[in-house]
This record gives sequence, structure tokens and C-alpha cells, in this order.
Amino acid sequence: MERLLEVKDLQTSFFTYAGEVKAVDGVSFHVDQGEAIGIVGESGCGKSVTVQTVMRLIPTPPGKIVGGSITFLGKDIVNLSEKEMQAIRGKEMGMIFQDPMTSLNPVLTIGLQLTEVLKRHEGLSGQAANKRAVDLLELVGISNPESRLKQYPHQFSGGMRQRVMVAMALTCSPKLLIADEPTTALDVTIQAQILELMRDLKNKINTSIILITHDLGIVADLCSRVLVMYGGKIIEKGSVDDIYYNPQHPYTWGLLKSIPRLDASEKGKLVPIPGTPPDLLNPPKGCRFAPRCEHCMKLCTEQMPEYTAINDGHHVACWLQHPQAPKVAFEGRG
Amino acid sequence: MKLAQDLFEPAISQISAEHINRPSTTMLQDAWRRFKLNKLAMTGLITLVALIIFAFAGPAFIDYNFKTNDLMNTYLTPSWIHPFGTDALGRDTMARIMYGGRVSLAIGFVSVLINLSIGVFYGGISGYFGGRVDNIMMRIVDIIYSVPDLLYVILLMVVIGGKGGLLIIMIVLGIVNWMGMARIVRGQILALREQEYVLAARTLGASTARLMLKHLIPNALGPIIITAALAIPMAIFMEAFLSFIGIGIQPPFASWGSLAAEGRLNIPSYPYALFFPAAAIAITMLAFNFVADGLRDAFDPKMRK
Amino acid sequence: MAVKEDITLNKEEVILEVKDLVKHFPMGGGFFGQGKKVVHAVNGINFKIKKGETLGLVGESGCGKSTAGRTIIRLYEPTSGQIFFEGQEVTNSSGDDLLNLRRKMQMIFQDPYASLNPRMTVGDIVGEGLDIHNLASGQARTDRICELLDVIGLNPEHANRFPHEFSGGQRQRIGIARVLSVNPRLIICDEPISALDVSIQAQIVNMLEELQEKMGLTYLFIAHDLSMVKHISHRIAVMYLGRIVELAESFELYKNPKHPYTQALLSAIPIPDPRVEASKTRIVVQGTVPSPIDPPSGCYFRTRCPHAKAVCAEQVPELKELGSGHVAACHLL
Repeated sequence: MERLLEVKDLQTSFFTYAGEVKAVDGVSFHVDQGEAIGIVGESGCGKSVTVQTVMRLIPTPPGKIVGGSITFLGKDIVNLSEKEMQAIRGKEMGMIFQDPMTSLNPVLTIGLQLTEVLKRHEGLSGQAANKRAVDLLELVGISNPESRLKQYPHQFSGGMRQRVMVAMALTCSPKLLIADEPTTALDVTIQAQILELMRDLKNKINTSIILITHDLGIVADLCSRVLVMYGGKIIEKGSVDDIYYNPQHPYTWGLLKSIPRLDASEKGKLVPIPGTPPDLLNPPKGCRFAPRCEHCMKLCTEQMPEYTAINDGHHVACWLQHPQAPKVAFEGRG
Repeated sequence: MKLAQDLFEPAISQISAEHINRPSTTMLQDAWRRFKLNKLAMTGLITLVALIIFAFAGPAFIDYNFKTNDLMNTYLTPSWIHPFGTDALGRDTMARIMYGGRVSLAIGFVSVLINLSIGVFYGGISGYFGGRVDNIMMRIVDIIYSVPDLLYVILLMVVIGGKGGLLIIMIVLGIVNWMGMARIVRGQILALREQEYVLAARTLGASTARLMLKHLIPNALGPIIITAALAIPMAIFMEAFLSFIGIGIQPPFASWGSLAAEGRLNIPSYPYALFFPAAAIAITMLAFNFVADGLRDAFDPKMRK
Repeated sequence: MAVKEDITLNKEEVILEVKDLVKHFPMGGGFFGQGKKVVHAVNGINFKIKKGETLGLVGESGCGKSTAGRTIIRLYEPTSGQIFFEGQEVTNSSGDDLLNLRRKMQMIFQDPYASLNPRMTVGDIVGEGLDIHNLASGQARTDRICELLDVIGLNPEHANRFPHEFSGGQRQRIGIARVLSVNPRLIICDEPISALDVSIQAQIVNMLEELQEKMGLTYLFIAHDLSMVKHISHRIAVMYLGRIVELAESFELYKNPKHPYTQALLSAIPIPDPRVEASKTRIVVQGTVPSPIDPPSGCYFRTRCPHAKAVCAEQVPELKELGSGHVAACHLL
């Protein structure tokens, strides 16, 4: 079966006055039809840049795709012209951004913003486009859609705006929905509503979802596979079961140990990851996580670790996986 | 792939987690660094410095002064001896431009200093207290603003000015132009007032004076400096205009404006008398504008890093 | 709104008591007061905090928790109600009394990028409390600043640097040092970790806990991340639209939430464990928070509550005592 999206060894850099910032340095993953994958990592790890590259939204000076390939529905995305990309964006690929306040044009009504997409991509006339827009608003759970169409973004609350964003992203029933921290700015009860919505959509219209977040909870809720990124690279990837119950990379351990669990029955200890994320202008030689890793070996500071397959689909880039390395086990949550 | 076993020994991380790599820079040093990169701004700055040296140190290097008449040599075309020519009374134009420059530049800087003091104080109080106080204070500014400033200046000069001494002109220009600065400062303070570091200082128990002097005004410096930088050429121009219409600097003293006024009389036959002072004014204003633009870019927080 | 006496809290141990605290903000428009709109940010809250404990205050945006914190610390003046610190009423303190209060009650702010004056050196920022209250000068001041920097894990050389040279986590720690300089007894933490990366949050929370143990501090921990609040707090108060709807010990609140809003809130929080998530019964509450300008009559939550009855629209529910300090305001109980 053909994969919906295949990214191979993608490298995106930003050329600034201080030098080349290797924001994405050799990232490979795939997305199949109808599945939801999560990309987790902290700020600066390259997760946003990765999906923005897939959507070809990186500003081309100073950014540049310096290597790798992106294949979407069998087509090579990297070399498409901007015009050809515009035909794909909105139609086959939809994107939801983090801040619903700034993603909507404040001087246009919601109706206009929704129907613009419909008229452009699907060639619908005014009335037909309006009807579709009403259907979409209903789909995302906005009550009184007909009257809401005539309103402006500032008349919607944060959660409603994000729903409108989801509606806009879904107007042309895209095969792939990319959601970049869609709920970070929202309250937790609204977040639950949006996640429920995304789950419904995945089940009903078989949309694939790439969910970018730093929240390991919502990944556990919505996704079937996870990519953990650090310093511009994927350091571990696998199914949710692999990552949560059999994590292999010390960074993943660090993440899991540093977050409190609501259902913890006794007060545990949070173990933070010491230090700060690497400077991508001058990344350390060898493993990017080495300076902060308590299991760092001499080899780690000299050579970039290779990927080891734990099982089909579960890969980790860490020298601890090497047969000659000492055996270290994950002690579990504090 | 077999590797040397000692590579698997634990390594002690060399990097201290709290180490900061780059040398410390203050906001001002950072802004200066960015300013230096702006070629146009640097050109402006160098031009200004050159002009200041020309005006203040120049007379020491030439033989002529601005007063000595030499009726045998009126309206000479520019030559090696008189690089800018001579005027109607045979006085060396270059010397007069130098002295005129001192006057014009001094008026520019000092009046803006006065303008700054009043404006920052007024705008600071208005912005800090907000509410009704701010409302009333800004309405007063609005009323004053609605009258054309040239009218004020002329009125004040006629009423107070008398003989048009240097100090009077400086004060008048300062008094007439503080409103713009007050508005800018008030806007800045209103915005900064709600910043968390100001709230933190209030929570610690800081007095109003401390908040203004240590927290609010230092952080409003960017726009203040830029506004001041733009106000200087405006003051110079305004003075030039006053002198041009005769109520500013009186002969035998000179400013660029009064020199331009004198030069106006004989444009077809002797354009140099108008050309040099006008050029001096134009170059100064252009240079200040480049510098102000450069400052604006240098202080823009979005351009950081 | 009357409140039953909380028998588990001994009077001498109560460091902060808040009674019927109300904070309303008038909205602009017109010179004359009639018919002016008002934002009902805090609508009568009551609680006590024991010395040495951490009371968590949670709720979603617009619930008034930050406003409550800022009103208690007198950044805003209370519209009505009373605040008692160590038994003394401080609601209207001013002048020297207020200055003294400021030494004992302090606040840590949310945004590490905005809570430090970019024009001041770290040393001056940390030393500001010492300067304002004349606690130390000259060499003693320098020594104390170095001591404080050491407590938060920075080096003395850092005192000459500026905030923009530090990371978010370090800046937040500097904010903590600033507050410690006056030796406060109660610290109100207003969303101190929301703007930080996940792994850094743990650093700050651990530091706050250590400091609490070492120095006997009391915290009012205001945040929206219930998982973190449950981790650090002994008791938690849940706020909705300016009112406290439930208050209980942390583990008790999680095990036995009584108020429908608390139940919905807890259900909405995703747990980083796929199997737990898959088997969770979700309570997805619909709609959004009503506007604080025009709140509903009676119980504010009734517009979204799946169990709303007629009485909910007529009467404001009072906080009922449910045993061992667990209180909730709901007509169904």
C-alpha cells in the first residue's frame, strides 16, 4: 500500500548572519492513511520546522531544504513550484497552528474566510460554498452556524476559534491534517473537546493526523505512533506502547520521569533533565543529548549514534543499544 | 560493528550546565553594535561629527573670523583663500558658516534637552497615573497641539524674544515642542506599567519614584532617544526659519538660517551666499534623519539575536 | 456567602485567611457611573492557608485565580471582603504597614521573559528587595546577593549579567531569588511554570519544594495544570468564574471529586499512559465559560452542567462541608 507521506533524511537549515542553524538534521518517518502520529519534543527540537518543511512553508531566505526527500501521495514535494504547492495546501494537506488568535484574519468574517478556501479549491459558487461552510461549522461543533458565519474572529472565544481553524483546515477534506500545538493555548476542558473532535474526524473521514506537541498526555490519548525529537533529530520512534511502556532512549526516560501524573496514588519525585537544549548553530559533536545524559559514554561525545531496531517500527538512536555497551534499564517513573 | 571497548567508558560531561558562553552585553552595547552595521546610519553619524568639529574647532584653523568687514572684497566667488566666498560686507562666508553652525547646532541640542525634560516628566506622570489624571493631562496636550507651533514660536519670540538672544530662542523652541515627546513617553509608560517586572517591583514595595527612575523610564529610553534624535533637526530647521524671517538670530551674529536669509537677496548674481548655508542645513537634517532611522532599527527588540 | 468553620485548621496555624473576597473591574465607557459594565473577576472566595502548607488554586482561563492572587497581594485593591495575615486584618493596610506586609508576603510571576527588568543586572534585580527595605548595604548586600544566587543554583559572576543572557528556567529562578531576599513567609506563585518547557518545570517545582522544607515557607500555588498542582499542593481549591466550587486535600480531590465541574476537569486531563487513556470514561463538558461581565444567575456552572436542575438557576450554592475539610458548592450534594 502506498504511504500517504514519506519523509527520508530531511535536512532543513537556516542561514543566519551567525552561521548555519541545522534546525532539522536528517529526519525520516512516514504516515499512513487514517493514522495519527505524534511528534514530541521541547522547544527548539525542530518539530515545527519539520512539518513546516513538509508544507513548504519555510521562508526561503534564510531557510533552505538542504537535503532529503518528501513524498506525498507519490509526488515529490521538495521540488514543486510554489503554485503547485498552493494547489496541495488546503486541498490535500490542512494545517492548524498553535495560536488561534493570530491565525484568523481579524477584518474578514468567518464565513468569508471559510468560503474563500472552498471557492478557490473546489470551485464552488457562493451559495453552495456557504452551505458547505455551515456544514463544516456544524461538524466542528459550533452551534448556530448560519449566524456565526457572519461574525468576526474577535466575537469567538479561543476554543471556538480553534474549532474554526479545524473547520478551515478540513474544508476540502484533506488527506493529511497537520496540527502544530493546536491545544497549547487552550483550557483543558476545551482541549478535551478539540481532541474529541479530531478523534471523531479521524474515525469518520479517515484523515491522517500529524500532531505536534510537548504534552505526552495528549499523544497517549490520540496517537498510535510517536516520534521523539531532540536537537533536530528523531532520537526514538515507535508505537505508543513502545514509547510509553518500553522506552529506550535516555531522553525519553527523562521526559517520562519529569512529568507529574494526575493518577499517581502517592507523591512521587519529579526528576528534571539537567542542562539546556543544544545550540543548533554549534551542535555538539556526536550525540546531541550527550551533555545532558547521565549515561553518557566516551563514544557518545565522538560519534553520532546509529539507529537500532528494537522491533518492527520501534527505532532508537543511542549507543546504549550497542552490544558492547553496558546494560541500563529504565527505572520507571519517580 | 565492533568498536574499541574503552569507548564505552562513562564520560563526565564537560559542559557546566550554568555556563554562559557569550560575553555580557548591555542593551545599549547591543544596540550600538547593530547601529554600527547600518552603513547609512554610520554615514550620518560621521557626517554629524564632522560638522560639529567643523563648526566648533574649525575657526581655529582659518584666518578669518565672522565679523571682520572687508568692503573691498564683497561677493567674491569661492576660491582657495575664501573657500565659500564672501558676503555683502566682505566677511568670509566659511567663517560665518562655522560660527553659524555653532549657533544652529547648539540651539538644536539645547532646545531638545529642554523639550526632553519637560516631555519626559509630563508624559511620565500622565502615563504612570493613568485614569483621570492621564485624561486631563492629555486633553491639555491636545489643545496645545491643535495650534500650529510656528504660531506659538512667532508669538513667543515677539512677546518674550525682544532682541532674540540665543538662550531665549533655545527656551522658546524647547517649550513649543515638548508635546510630541510627552505623548510618546506617556504611551510607553502606559504599556510598560503592566509589565510583570514593574508589578514585581511594586510587590516588593517600590516607591513611585523608584518605579519611574529605575524601571519605567530606562525601558522607555529607546523611543525617547529616537524622538529626541528626530527633534534636533526639526529644532534646527525651526530656528533657521525664525532667523530667515528675521525674528531669530540678529546680525552680526549668524546662524545658518540668518545666513540663508542674507543670501536670498542676490540669488541670480551670487548664488553662493544662499547655497552654502542651505546646504549646511540640508546635510545636517539628512544626517540626523539617517542616525534616527539607524537608532530606531538598533533599538527594535524584534531584531534581537 | 457564609462559610462553615473548617475544623481541621487550628487558629494559630493559619497564616492567610481570605473572607468573601470580591474583585470587580469597571469597564470603560462614559464619565458617569450609571449602567457601566463590570467584569466580575472574583466573586466572593473564602479559604485559609496553614503555615507550611501549599494550597493549590486551579481553574481555567477567566476563572479569576490570578486576579485573586494579585488582589490578595494588593496589586489590585479588593472591591470588598477581608484579608487576614497571621491573624491581623490587612485588607486596607497602607503606608508603613503595607511595606511591612510586603516583606512577609511575596509573589512569583508567570512570564520569565517579562518578569525581570531587562535594563537591570541580575545582581540588582535580586538585591532590589534589600534596597527597598534597607536590609543590607555595601559588602553585606553583595554577600547576601551571592548567597541568594547560590541558593537558586547560579554563580556569583552571574550577578553582573543581564536577564536576556539567561534561559527561561534560569530567569524564573532569579525571580525566586528576588522574592527570597526579603525573607517572606508566604509566597503566592502565579502560574510560575506555565511558560517553561516540560523538563524545566520539574526543576522549578523541585526547587520550590526544597525551599519550602528548608525555610518553612507557605505557598499559594496558582496554576491551570492540575497534574502539577496536585503534585505540589497539600490541598486544592477549584475555581470557576470567580467562585470556589470545591476544596479538598489533593489526593481526595482526585479520588472523590464531588462537583460536576471538578469531575469534568479531571476527566479532561490527558494522562501519559495509552492504556489508561483508552479505558477512561470521558466527561466532555460542552460549551464555553460564560462571560464574567454577565454571569448566569444562581450557580455559574449550570449552563454547562449535565445535572442542572431548576434550583441551580435560582439559588447560589454554598460550600457544603463533606467531611475532613472537603467542601463543595453544589445543590446536588
